[in-house]
Order: sequence, then C-alpha cells, then structure tokens
Amino acid sequence: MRKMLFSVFTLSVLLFICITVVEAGDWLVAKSYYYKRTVLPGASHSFNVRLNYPSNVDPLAPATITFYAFLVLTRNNISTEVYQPPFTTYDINNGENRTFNLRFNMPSQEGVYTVAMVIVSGMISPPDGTVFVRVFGKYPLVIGTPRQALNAHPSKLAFGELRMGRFMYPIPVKVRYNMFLPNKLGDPQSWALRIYTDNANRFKGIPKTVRKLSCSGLIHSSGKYTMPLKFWTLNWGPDPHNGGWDGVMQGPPPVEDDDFWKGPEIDESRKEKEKRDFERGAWLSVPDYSNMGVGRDAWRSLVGVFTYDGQYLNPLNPTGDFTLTQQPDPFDMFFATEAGSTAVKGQYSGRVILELFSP
Amino acid sequence: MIKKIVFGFLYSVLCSNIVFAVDVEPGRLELTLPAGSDHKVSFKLSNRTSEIMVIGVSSGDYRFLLSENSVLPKGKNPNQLIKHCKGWISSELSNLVVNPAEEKEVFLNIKVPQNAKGEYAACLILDQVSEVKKNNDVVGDALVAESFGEGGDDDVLLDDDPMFSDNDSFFTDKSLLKDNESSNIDLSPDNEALVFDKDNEFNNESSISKLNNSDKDNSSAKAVDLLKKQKLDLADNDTLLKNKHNEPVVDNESSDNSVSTVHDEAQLDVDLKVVYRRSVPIYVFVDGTTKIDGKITGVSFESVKDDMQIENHLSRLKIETTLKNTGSRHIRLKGTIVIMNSKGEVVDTLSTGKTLPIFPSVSEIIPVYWKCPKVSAEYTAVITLDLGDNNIAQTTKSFSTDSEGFVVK
Repeated sequence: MRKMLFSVFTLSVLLFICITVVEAGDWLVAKSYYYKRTVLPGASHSFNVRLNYPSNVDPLAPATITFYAFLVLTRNNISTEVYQPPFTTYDINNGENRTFNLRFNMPSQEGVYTVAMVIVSGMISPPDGTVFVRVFGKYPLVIGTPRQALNAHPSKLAFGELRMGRFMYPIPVKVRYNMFLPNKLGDPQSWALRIYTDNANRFKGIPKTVRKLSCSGLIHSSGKYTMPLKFWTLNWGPDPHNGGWDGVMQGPPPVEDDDFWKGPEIDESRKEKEKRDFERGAWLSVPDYSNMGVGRDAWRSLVGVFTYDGQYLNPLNPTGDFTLTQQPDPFDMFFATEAGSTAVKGQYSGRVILELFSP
Repeated sequence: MIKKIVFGFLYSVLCSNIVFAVDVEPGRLELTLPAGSDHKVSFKLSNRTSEIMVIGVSSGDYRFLLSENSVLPKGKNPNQLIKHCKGWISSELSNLVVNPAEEKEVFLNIKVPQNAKGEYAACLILDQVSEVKKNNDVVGDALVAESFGEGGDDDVLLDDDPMFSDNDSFFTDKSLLKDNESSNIDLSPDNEALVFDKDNEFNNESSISKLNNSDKDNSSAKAVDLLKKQKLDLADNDTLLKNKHNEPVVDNESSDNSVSTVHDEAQLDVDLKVVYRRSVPIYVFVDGTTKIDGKITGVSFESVKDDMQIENHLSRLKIETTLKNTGSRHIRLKGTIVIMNSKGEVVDTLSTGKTLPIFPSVSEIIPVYWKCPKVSAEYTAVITLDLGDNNIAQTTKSFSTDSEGFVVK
C-alpha cells in the first residue's frame, strides 16, 4: 500500500513538473529589448528587456515568478554562455509589465556576435532551470576596441622596365584594416576606404595648354604624359556566373582580355566605344581626385561598411546570421597598367592614396 | 634586367609597408556657431603603433558619401546642396609628430564670416607623411629613414644601402639623389615640366619651420631632419626623375617626333607608391539659421522573389519608406517599423538602421526587409523615423498578403 501511495505521489510530482515545464514557456512574454550595439572587450554591458506576465495565462501559474537570465553569444557558429557574476534572480508578479536592466561582463574576444537572452526559472541553478522565454536580438553585438588602423604591404611597387602592352604587377598589395568606429551612443558608423590619385593637386598643369587631359594614372617624368593605372580586388568581381572567371579560385582576371580590362561586350555590332559596358569591367581605373564627382560611382571604394543593415560591401548573408557577415580583411589588391602605342618612353611614377572617410 | 626585376620585387615585398594606426577623436565634428565668431576646436590623435608617425594636417573639401538610395532634386548635384567652408579653417601646425603610445592634440581655428547662413562642411585631412621605426628600420612610407629611438642617436645612412638609394624610385641613381640633396630640385614656377602646387599639403617648407617653432622635444627635432630629407620626396620624386630625364627623350630613329613613343625596343620604368589619408568631416551650422524637418513622402510594400534561403513558412517582403529632408541642414535617420495584425497586436518590430547624412532637399529611400508569414492576413505598418533633436516623422500604412505571403494590396 505504502509502495502504491509512493508511486502515485511520485507520478503526480512528475506529472506536475512535466505540466510546469510544458506550460511555463508561455508564462512570460518578451515585449521589447534594447542593448547598445558595440562594447569594449571584457566590459560590463547593459541589456534591457521588457517582460510581461499575463494574468490569465494559466490557472496553475504562481503569483510570482522568480527567474534568472543569461546570454548566449554566438560567433562563427561557436556559442558562449555568459552569466551574471553573482547568481542574481529577479521577480515578476502575475499581471505585471516590467523592464529589467541586466548587466553582463562581455567576453574578451573581439568580433561580431549574435545575441540571445535565455530567461529560465530561478529556482534551480542555471542553465538547468525551466526556460520561460528566449529573446533573440535582431541586430549584432560588436565587441571591439575603437580602431582606425590600416596596413598596406608592399606600399611601393617597382614595375620595372615595361614594353608596349598591358602589365599586371604580380605581387598583390595586401590590405589589412581594423576600422571600428562606434559613436557615443554605441552605434557603429559607416565608413569607406577609397582609392584615388591626387595628381591634379600635385601638379598645376602645363601653362598655355589648350586641352586639359585627365591627369589620373601614372605621370611621366616630364609631367606631360600619363599612363592609365587600374586596380582589381575581389570586392569588385567579376561575377563568376556572368564573366566566367572566378576571382576566388583563379585570382585576378587576365589583363589581356578586353572583357575584364575594358568591360564585357554588350553589342558586337556597335563601335568599340559603344559596344562594351565599361562600368562592369573587372579592372577598374584609379580615378584622380579632381575627376571624381560626388556620386557613388565616381568614387572607388575598396571596402566599406554601411549602417543600413550592418553588412559589408558585397554581402552574402541571406539567412540574416550576423556572424556570417565576414569583413573582407585582409584583401589583396592588384595593380596594372597599359603602355599604348602612343605611350612616351621614360620614367613613370604614381602615388595612390587610400583614404578612410566616415561621414 | 632580370636582376633588376627580382631586386625590385624583393625590395617591394621586404622593405615597403604602410602602417597607419593613428586614431582620431572625435571622428566627426558638428558645431553650431554664431555668424562672425571665432572658434577653436581640437582633435586628439593617438598613436597605437610602436613607430613614430609624422602626420600632415590640412583642411580640405567635404567628401560626399551618398547612399545608392539617395534621390537628388532635379538638376542639382550635392555640391549645390551644401556650402563648403574649407577656407574658414586654419591650423597652427601643418605637420605633427606623434610618438608611440602618445596622444597629441591638433588645434583648429574656425572663423565664421558675418554673412554666413545655413549649413557648411569641410574636412580635416590627415596625411601619413612618414613613419619610422624605433629600431632604425625603415618601414612603410619612410623614404629616408632615421632613428628616433631613445637609444638610437645616429641617422641611418640609407644612401649607402642600394635598397634605399632612392625615395620613391628604386631605380633612380644614388648619385642623382645626392645631387638633389644639395638643393638642385627645380621647383620654380618656370619649371614648365612640373609645376608643383606649393599651396597643397605636399609643400613642406612651412611645415618644417612651424614644426621647429612648435615642437621642441628631441624626437621632434629629429623629425624635422626627417622632414627636411623628405623634402626630396615631397618636392617630388617626379621632380627628381625629371632631373634624371631632364630633356624629353628624342628617338633617334624617328626624326618626325620630338619625343619617342614606345616601340618594341623602347622601355618604360614604372614606380608606384601607396599612401594613407584620413579625412574627418566638420559640419558647421550657423546659429539660428538652420532647422531640422522631414516628411515621409511614400511607403511601398513589395514581395521579394529571389533565391535567398529563408525558412519555408516565410517569404521576404521589402518595405521602402521615402523621406524628404525639408529642413535646412543634414539629418541622419534612425527609426522603427512596427507591424501589427488586424487585431492590433504587434507582430514584429523592425529597425530601419541608421542612414548616411541626408542633405537638404534630398530624398532617401530606406529599404527594410521583413520575413513575412505565408498566411493570408491584413497588417498595419507604423513607421516612425527619428530625425534628431526630438523631431519625429511618423506614418501608418496598411497592407495585406495572400497565403504565399505575397503582397496583394
């Protein structure tokens, strides 16, 4: 008899626990949340969450729920659970709407993290308590130290002696950068790394000349002639599906191929100047500052981040997983030039400026 | 020939590198100043590297970074939407030496004319003039290296090293460089081949004298030496090269042309250098003459049918909100879109992100994507945009979807 009573009691307890586990998930509702998007590594960071404990949620629901919250930060598919240093529990009464300010010490590893807050029963030590609600952050948390660092190697290229034709300098300029520009509200700011020459500011030009030519590119030692300078990075294509060249696998597209150097053919029947889409050439001309207008197309951005969506210049992030949005760092930049049939022999030199601008 | 190329490659790979790790604080300056006033502002430069950095300081035109969703008023370009104030800004220093782990301040004077009205913009331009390592190694853009270290008291005579025989050009004669060191560089306005713009940041004369007056410490004095030597570079490598090729090359084989073009036998020497520049925007609002205002001029809903992989029960919906800046200064929008069902319950809250500056009279189309359930339903979107300084633009728009989650109304 005793055994039977004990079994019934045990079953009742288990049933009650099961019901509680199943139902408890619906007891709390997260109405909203807020956290600053950027934080220093290892710093304490505040997360606000507004919770609602509806009064008519369940007749079995207790008058007060005690809960504990912890964070799950995910970076590159590796999740880290972050707990509050002292085991702190919070209470919310039935029928109450309340905002909780929870502080956590952030990991010391810099990076972009996906955020989830798990709110569990505070009756048992986390993370074993019954999960009341999971709050998934819709924007990434960037852990990092504000930096504006750039490294380009090599920064001097001696092409050597060239003959007529196109020539790509075979060694890439490896560009590494660490641009992290949060403002005082903790929002990351947009920035772009641009490439141009500043020849027009450097040379006022030849007096009494009738025609002013574009001064972009490499300048002859006499100052009277220029040679085009082009660059290629993976950030600018070409699209392997359209151009038939996969830059990731094959590296810089061949300079000898007009489709990559000038732009793909769109209409063979037209004249040379009209038959190509010059905007879509994989090799892009390095413009001169004086030639650049204010439009986006006029500037050549090597890389940048825009805060509309927090994604990078060529985003490939269809699932919305912030941690999969990888900054192309470092990236390789190749330079090439062309000595046409009218090029004047002698010494040419150029100075390419990499400019960081955050408006 | 092959030897030269190999040597050049080795030189490029081993000996040239630019590192720029000077943090600028603040990264942007927005000032409201009365017309006719003088104002002094400062920027802090922190050197996070272990190398001494020499930074050229100057003012420049404002740089536009427009979104691809910006719609300009017809017949206008952005230069007509904002006035430039480069000429209002003056700096005490045009070159600054920042030691490793040091923080230095750059002071700028902004003089607002009496008749100024509206919004103006300019940029503080910081150029990497050079960098020199403590351990006597040349790095990056350092063209004639020097020692700035505590223990290093002698200049490194790189002229003796064939790898450093030239500033920019590896192939330039060492003897030529030495000739030019004895001020043979032709910078006269009559030099028709290269008329150098002496007003721009590459004119180093004033920089050196200013630096002499302003920075008295040891390392700065050495930096002055460095700058003097760099005068060679800043006066331009091209000028050096011009001296090397003083006369246009006459092609003996072709008497018709005064200069030779490239034939199979003829050759070109090409050198390239990469340098770093940081531009910091400065916005000036003339007190009492600007206002923030904006109007939501359109909201559209569109189903996105593409290959993006999202959950099976969801489809993608694009909500485009168009806001026109009807004020007289730029704004940066930040807002939310709250989507409610027919019962008035909140289904989702979306962030619009933060836009780039939107200048007066410019419209901005703000795209926001929503993962929409594949159910036939009616929704209401409440769009709230924060224009700044407690100015809000808000609108409400209804839409409905079919069982595939596509917009039908």
